[in-house]
Amino acid sequence: MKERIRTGTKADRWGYVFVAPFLIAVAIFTLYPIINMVIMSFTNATNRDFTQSLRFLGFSNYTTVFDNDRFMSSIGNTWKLWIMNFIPQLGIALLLSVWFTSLRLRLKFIGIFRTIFYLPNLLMPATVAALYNMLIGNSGPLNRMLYSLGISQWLVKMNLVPENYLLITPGMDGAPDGIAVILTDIPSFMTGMVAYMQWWLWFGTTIIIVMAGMTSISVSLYESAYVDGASGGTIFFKITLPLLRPVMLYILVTSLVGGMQIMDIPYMFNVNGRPGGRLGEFDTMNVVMVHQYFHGTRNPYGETRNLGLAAAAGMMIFGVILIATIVLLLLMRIGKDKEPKKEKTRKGGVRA
Amino acid sequence: MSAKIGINIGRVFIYILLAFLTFLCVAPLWILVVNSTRSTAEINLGISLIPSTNLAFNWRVLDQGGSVDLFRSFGNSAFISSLTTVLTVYFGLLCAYAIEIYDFKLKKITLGLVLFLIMIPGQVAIIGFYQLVVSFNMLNSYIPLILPAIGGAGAVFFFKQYLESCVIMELIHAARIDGCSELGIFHKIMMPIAAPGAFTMAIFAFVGSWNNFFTPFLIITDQKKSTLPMAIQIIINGNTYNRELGAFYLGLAITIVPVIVVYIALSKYIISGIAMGALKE
Repeated sequence: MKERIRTGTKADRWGYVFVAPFLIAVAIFTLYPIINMVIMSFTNATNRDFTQSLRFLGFSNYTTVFDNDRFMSSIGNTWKLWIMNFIPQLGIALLLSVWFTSLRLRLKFIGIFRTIFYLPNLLMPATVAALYNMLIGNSGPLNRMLYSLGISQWLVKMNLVPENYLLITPGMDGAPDGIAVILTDIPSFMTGMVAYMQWWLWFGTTIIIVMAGMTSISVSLYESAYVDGASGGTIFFKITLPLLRPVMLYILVTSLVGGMQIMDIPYMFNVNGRPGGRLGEFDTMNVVMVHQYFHGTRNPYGETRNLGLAAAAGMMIFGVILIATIVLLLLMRIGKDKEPKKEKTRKGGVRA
Repeated sequence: MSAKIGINIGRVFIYILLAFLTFLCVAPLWILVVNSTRSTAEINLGISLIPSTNLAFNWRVLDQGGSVDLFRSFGNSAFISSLTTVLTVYFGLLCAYAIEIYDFKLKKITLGLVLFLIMIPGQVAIIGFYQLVVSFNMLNSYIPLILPAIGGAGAVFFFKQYLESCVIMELIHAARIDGCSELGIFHKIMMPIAAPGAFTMAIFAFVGSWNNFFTPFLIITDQKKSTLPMAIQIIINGNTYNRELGAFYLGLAITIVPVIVVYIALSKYIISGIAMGALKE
């Protein structure tokens, strides 16, 4: 901390004025909605009347959400999607960062590669979902590639894909096109695709952050390790990883908090108009909250809009994230041998 | 000698992997851009990496047909994102500046609140936010999409980090002695000094608002007021463009090509900004 020059109380009063807009906006747009959600989760609030005839229901909204199989399975789905995209994300980021910062390898074009890898993160999730929808369609590029590489034929020959997932000559406008696998009907493939899209959107960011963490480690540490004859693996596990702890913690927490709230891609990555997939295979917690409870009457499945239930679902999502974050912080603390340093955080925003 | 060969083999292997990752990032986007210039018949014939000549036709289909006015949505999104960006940057910088140079009682509380807000899953409270919007009779208004930007904790944190390295107290004192008001100091001295950081934050704020689907999706029901991600969602679910694949791809391209162009021009600021927010050494 650099030393502050006392500015005198008169000027300091301006501090209140300058932070006031921020505090007021936070109170209205963030804190009030949270309190509101807590209250609503115990009532029969619907869209039409919030205040009139608002009845207190106790925990009945919570038990309803708890008994909803769709919501309960969405908790598992959300975790599955997060783990499936986070582990490869972190693994690749660590690997590439070690290579990019290696003094022995001296790789070129690092800046260009980083720039390219970060690009997907800037794209609109709505567009990404629509684009991948097109790419995996029956006559889309992926199916064409599988066919021209002979993989579709091989799958048929080996009887690996059930017949109802196959389409013979799917090309439109009379174009003969062999065999297509109806990928959009295969639940495990679709779940994998959602995880892949999340990975695709976020791996560049993780690389940049991990790399910035590694370059901030003093070079002299590495040099003395070399002098002592330490191998690359020893250096990584004994120097790099322990010193990377704050950065890793930061990535883990932001990714977890964002990943538990994942909504855009699973909501829009569907072919038949049902958010969360044909069989609900990638229903996430937020998708169920919005689609089943919030949009109730607007969705074609006839569920009624019920904001009390939506608020209760929101509270449960809150709870899941809170518990997960606390467990994570405790685990990171247990593994730590020295005094914990000041925690590092980054710009907000949802990430997964 | 043999160690050198080993390193070279390693390098080749790494470059192959990097090329593969580059392919994964670029190929879908390239297919998207190319297909937006092709006719439906051409698209059905297979993948091509060379643009075709059907762009004008696709543009016309997109302009005239369809249930969604993509261009209007584009304008709506541009309007919302621009205002959001201005508010995020101005008030974020103002708040961070106050925390950095003044001594006052709310200072520690504000900073603690900023850190707390970054950690909590605020998006989940959307139901409470929706109720607020309804009770102010602001459904289908852009105000609830724009005004919350004033309370952008991420921006405050970012600027707090940034200002630590560029506030010059002597300059502020000199200005005070010259009779400059506190707000005048902020406008005339601080803002020009913080311009590069403000610029980086502006990019993040704009892209974040531009891509946001969740909030407008719940608050805007009037199709004329829909934002670009909402329009895309309607296109995905509708069957208007099913017959005109070229127009469909062009519609998607419109949402991302501007972002890619801006990114190519400003990638230096963006990449350094990500790391700046994450690390504090």
